Amino acid sequence: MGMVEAAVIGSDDVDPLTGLYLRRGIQSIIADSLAQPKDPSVRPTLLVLDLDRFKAVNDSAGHDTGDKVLKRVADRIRRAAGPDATVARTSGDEFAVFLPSGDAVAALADKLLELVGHPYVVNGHAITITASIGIAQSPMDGADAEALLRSATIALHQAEIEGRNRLRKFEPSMQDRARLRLALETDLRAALALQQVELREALTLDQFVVHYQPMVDLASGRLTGFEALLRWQHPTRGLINPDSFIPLAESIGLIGALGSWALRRACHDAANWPLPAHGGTLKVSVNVSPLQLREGPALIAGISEALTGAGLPAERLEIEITESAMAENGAATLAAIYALGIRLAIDDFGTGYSSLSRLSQFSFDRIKIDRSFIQAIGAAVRPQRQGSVGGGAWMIRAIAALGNGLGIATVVEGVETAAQASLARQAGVTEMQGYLVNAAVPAEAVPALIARLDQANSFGMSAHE
Amino acid sequence: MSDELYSLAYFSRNTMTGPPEAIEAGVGQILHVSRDNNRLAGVTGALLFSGGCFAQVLEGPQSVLEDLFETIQYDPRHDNVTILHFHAVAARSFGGWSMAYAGQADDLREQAVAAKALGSPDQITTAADGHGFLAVLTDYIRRSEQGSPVSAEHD
Repeated sequence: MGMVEAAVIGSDDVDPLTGLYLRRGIQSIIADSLAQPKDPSVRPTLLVLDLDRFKAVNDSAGHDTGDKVLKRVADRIRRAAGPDATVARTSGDEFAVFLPSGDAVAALADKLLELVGHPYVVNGHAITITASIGIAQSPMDGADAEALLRSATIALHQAEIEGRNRLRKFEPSMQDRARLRLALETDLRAALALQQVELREALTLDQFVVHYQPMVDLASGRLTGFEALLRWQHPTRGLINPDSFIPLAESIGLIGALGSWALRRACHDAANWPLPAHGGTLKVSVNVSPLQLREGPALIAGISEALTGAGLPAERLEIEITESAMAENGAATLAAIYALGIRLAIDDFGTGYSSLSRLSQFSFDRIKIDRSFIQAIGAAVRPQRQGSVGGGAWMIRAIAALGNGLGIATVVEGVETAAQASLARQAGVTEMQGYLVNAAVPAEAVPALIARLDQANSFGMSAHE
Repeated sequence: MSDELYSLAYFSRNTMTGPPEAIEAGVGQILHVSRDNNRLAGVTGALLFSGGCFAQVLEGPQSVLEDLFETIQYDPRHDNVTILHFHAVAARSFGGWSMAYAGQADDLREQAVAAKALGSPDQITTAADGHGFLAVLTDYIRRSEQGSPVSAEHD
């Protein structure tokens, strides 16, 4: 194989299943095309097309059916691409289309998304799949075949990150993001691998900490509890937010270990908090990702162990899940968590997919109203967005009414000004969280914060630090 | 196994534009070609055209239907194809028809709207909607066999 000249297209370069070129075949055709002198306006273009979640087809209908679908996909792409294009199957369910001239690329990409997305009937199965497409054009996105393939693949990954079933053209910023992602992924693996043995029991991790943000009752000003927020203290990049590394941890299969550590840490910290002067108890809220929820029994065992290990009563722990987690098949797991006496909250409410009928099927204790609604009303720092002012307030009122109707608490997130707090209170929301009360603080700062919030008789007046 | 009798129903959006006569001619051509092909391949069925959408039922040997359906995907006169059902059947519902046709007849439109059959494929969101549509279509073709003015070719 290694002795074959790249410029010669032999049978080794053709996929026996689809009759399309393999990666090496299209690579040498691209190389030949790019090597020819041409008008700079010609822009040879490469599309890389990946079938979304094709593994599910193989898993549910079998590989024979999967292969037949791949043949039909190949034929559809070949037909749509036309005689001037070179089409290849570059890996299992990934295809590439090279156009010597890029004029009609947008129309072709749309046509491919449409045509590949039409249903397939094979071996008695009716199958519908979607595709994601990345596009790169030479010379700006890549001067040689390898660079062009790489750029198109980066654009493809961007299309997949943005939700699949779409096309994205390569932009240089995507490469920076891809590099950063790769670097972070490597660091995250390393950070956790170093402590893999201890991870199951350790209470401290070198690079990870849990910070706590207070929530207070809007009517009485009383502190009700804290949300536990995982932070990654990166040795060179500084403090990294969960939004940046949780998706990474999920994609490389480390979310389970990291999530159960955060849960154990939070329960341990909460068990040692001083009692507030108002005599009530303080809850600790911990986020659980949809992937953790899918682990079902392992998650429930982890939660029970965290409670027992810390000596924390179940009713002081609250599990926060997003709407999308609720939409997946986590119903049994959520019911089991609820049955343990643990509280359940829906996080970022109003931005996901929950339907009211879906809501009524679950038992939960709190709705957390997504920060975007209050921030649309008039934040301290952001410019007020005209037009969305009424909408944010209206949504908050509607969600508060929903909570009242269900007889459960509502928490408005992201409150930064006294005016926002006052509006939320008038709307009937029961609790708030945000910079107005306090930013998230390290575990060691929690006792002092509890003492300070105990003394403040009106949160609306307390200056934030 | 692959020659077992199957039924396939799908819904799609018309992409033909232009004056009504041109669209009518386009549908006429679809019917003409499909009737010829179907007769040879042992396929029977019915086509409903609402103006905005097509709905078609095809019945015949499984492998024949699978190849025929693939060919239909390449037809640029429609897009947004959604399958309503694909399964084995004991007997044909449209046995006498190489491709019965129900066009934009007013009484059909009323019934179909009542059964949520017309409009966009998005409106058929449940199996019940799909079955409602099929019931309307089947009923309409059956009644037309008794002499109603439906443009259908009886073999």
